Amino acid sequence: MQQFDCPWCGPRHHIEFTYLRDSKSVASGDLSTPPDDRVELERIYLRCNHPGVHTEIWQHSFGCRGYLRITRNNLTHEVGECLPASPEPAP
Amino acid sequence: MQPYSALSLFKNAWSGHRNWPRAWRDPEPEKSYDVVIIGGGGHGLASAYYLARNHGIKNVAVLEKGYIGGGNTGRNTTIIRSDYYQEANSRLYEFSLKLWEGLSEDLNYNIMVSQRGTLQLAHDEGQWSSLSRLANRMQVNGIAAEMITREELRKLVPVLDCSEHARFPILGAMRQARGGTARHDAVAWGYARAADRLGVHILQNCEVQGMDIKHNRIVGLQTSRGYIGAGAVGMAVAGHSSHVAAMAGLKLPIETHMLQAMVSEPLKPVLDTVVMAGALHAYVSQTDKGEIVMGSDLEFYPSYAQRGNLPRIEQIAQETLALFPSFSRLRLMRTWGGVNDMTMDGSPIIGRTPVDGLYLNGGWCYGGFKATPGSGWAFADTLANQKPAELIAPYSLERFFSGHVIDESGHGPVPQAQ
Repeated sequence: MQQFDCPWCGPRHHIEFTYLRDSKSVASGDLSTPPDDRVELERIYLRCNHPGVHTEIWQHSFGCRGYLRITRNNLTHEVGECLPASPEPAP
Repeated sequence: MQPYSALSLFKNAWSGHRNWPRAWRDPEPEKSYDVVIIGGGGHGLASAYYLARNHGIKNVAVLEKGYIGGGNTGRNTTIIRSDYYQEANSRLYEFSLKLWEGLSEDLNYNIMVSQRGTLQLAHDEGQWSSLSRLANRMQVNGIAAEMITREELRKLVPVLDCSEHARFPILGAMRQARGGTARHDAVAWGYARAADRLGVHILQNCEVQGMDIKHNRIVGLQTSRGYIGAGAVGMAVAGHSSHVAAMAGLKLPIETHMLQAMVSEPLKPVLDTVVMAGALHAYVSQTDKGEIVMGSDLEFYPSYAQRGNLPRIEQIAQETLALFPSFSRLRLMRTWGGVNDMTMDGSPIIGRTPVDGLYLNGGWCYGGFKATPGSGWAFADTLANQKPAELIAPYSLERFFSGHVIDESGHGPVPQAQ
């Protein structure tokens, strides 16, 4: 059982939240240069999927519907920081 | 080693079953092998067996970090079926189902294949249409399937709530009569014993800790039982593909998610088929011992914890009771979780990797158990010939970059939605 500390709503049970994706696979939003196909495909399909700590994008779907950036250990289910999400450049 | 037979059973009964020989040896690792397979689950052991049986390559080792069949092979809901739409899936799973049908004789091990039929329930017109489309496609592919109405279903599965007042009213179902279940542990044990008899080394408590790659070719593995040289290496570690492949510097289109299942206390025979409700993602069957097996949905977030959370257990219990109200007094006996390689298109990845001599067999999502024999057969072919077997050629890692994804459910790169 995991508890996420929503910056807007306070601590809530994880079933109120929807996991969206790993923060590293989020598009950079930088449209100034034309995207490279291979780089974009790698961002869309490949994942850093090691057991351990990851930063993930979640939505508080059954609450304020805000987007969060949550640091979480996927092996122990230990939850770290829960921050408002903002786009992070693709790796 | 003596083959199992009615005679050997009779003989051993005289001595109180105390003198059965061990089913497979416990050898010390050799310095090197022609082929090393990482992962002593169903897929790894089947691959080793078919390498020895079909290709005569017997200098083979299977490395298992724990005990064989201790991962997903022993954690699934034992269902076998081949009701897939996409051509590649249809071919692979049907090939597997045909192997399942003769596997006990082939392995000289009773894996208790029971072709009790599988039912996919339709709760609304949309699901009925989509299952009809699937049944038609299966028949075009030469796989028997039929649509059955609620009235027929009521006779076939009296314990299922087919009334109009049910929580999830049932319109009918798609039935694959050749589908069913197999004893999951026995699959690992049967393949292990059969592979061992052909000379394969099964090395348990042997964890791979590093890969020795020279000039982009794999030449050996560092393991907890020392260095083992290898002509070719096959990874069959589904659930853990990403971090084993990371030892070779690879990044895969896989997220690891957790799936739970559970069994009730045993009861007298009441359910003689497999009932699956795709809309609820619930699948229910009864084991030969009498327990009701309930399979559930993913947890919907990445996890390597081989244990579940209570909300999902509550959900699957509610769904099962909605379908089978008479189970309401059953007590849960055991629950467990397994970790699934969820790929970005819901189909497995089998074949070459960018490292020469290193092959991948993973990304099985929910479909690994039923594919075990076919996957082992085709992976053995791939390892023996050093090129992807025709049956599994569409499942290459490169398909994600060439636009040839095999997306059975049409969800796109959202693994938790597959």
